[in-house]
Amino acid sequence: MKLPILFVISGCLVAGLVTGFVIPLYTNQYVARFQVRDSTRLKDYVETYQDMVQFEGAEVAVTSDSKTWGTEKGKGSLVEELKTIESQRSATNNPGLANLLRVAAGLVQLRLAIASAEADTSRQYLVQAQKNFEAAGWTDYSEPHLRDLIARYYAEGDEK
Amino acid sequence: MTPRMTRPQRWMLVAIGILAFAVAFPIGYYLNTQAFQPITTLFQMTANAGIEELSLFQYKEAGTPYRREALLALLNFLQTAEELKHANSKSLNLTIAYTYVRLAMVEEVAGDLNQSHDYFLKAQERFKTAGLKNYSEAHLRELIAKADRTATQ
Repeated sequence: MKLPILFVISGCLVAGLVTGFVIPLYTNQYVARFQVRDSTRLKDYVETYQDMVQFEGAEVAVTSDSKTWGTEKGKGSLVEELKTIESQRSATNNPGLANLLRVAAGLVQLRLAIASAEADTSRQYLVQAQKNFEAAGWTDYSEPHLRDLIARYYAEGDEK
Repeated sequence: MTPRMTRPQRWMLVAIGILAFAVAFPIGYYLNTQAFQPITTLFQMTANAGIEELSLFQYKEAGTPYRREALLALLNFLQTAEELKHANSKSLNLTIAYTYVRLAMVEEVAGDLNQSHDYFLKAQERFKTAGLKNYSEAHLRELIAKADRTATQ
């Protein structure tokens, strides 16, 4: 009789521990469905959360080492970041998020324009950035203004 | 050979099993929160920083409808995070308060003074909760002007 009791107790203890530990891993974001009744709002929240974590994570990685932008590796990281942002933008139905992602894409294109040594490539990125800022409703998207903006923004980033 | 269990013994075993599971489950849940809470908080802070940064770019560079749209997207995101208790409530409260002031200023420029006043009231409530002693409209305007001078650009 002792053996089955010990077996059942230890088995159920382990099962309880594992279930208790694992369940929140899968439900942390989605259990919220029960907390927020408006599911469209929650869907927007989860989508924005995921996109922003990815964007800011890439931003921190890239801006912490702005001296590498001109290198092939640095440009590769920027191109990858741009691809991710553009795929997120084409996937979203949320116009507010889409516009923020346009700004994000524009900022990366602007850095690529600065990082590209070849004049034609640099110009192409700059024009793409200007198109994105124009679509996002910016009032001044002239080249001098954008260069000044990016210089001030990342000078501040380097100081941090 | 183990003797066969009687029916009461079997029920007792089931009850012990359920009890063991019920005791272990909250312990497992607690261990999870201890192990992953810092990571969850970090991710939430990262998401907040990302959307705030992009919204502030819009606030400073875009025309009125786009500024409003960006600030409302930020406000909606932060309020949902607050409802879900996904981040530090004090810092969220302050960011929401600043967003209300910025929205008030956008509506003022757009000529909707009632809406602007409403946003100022909401901001004041938030700053009051945060323990700010002076939350007059004039002081909030000063605060936001100062914050915007030192923000991203």
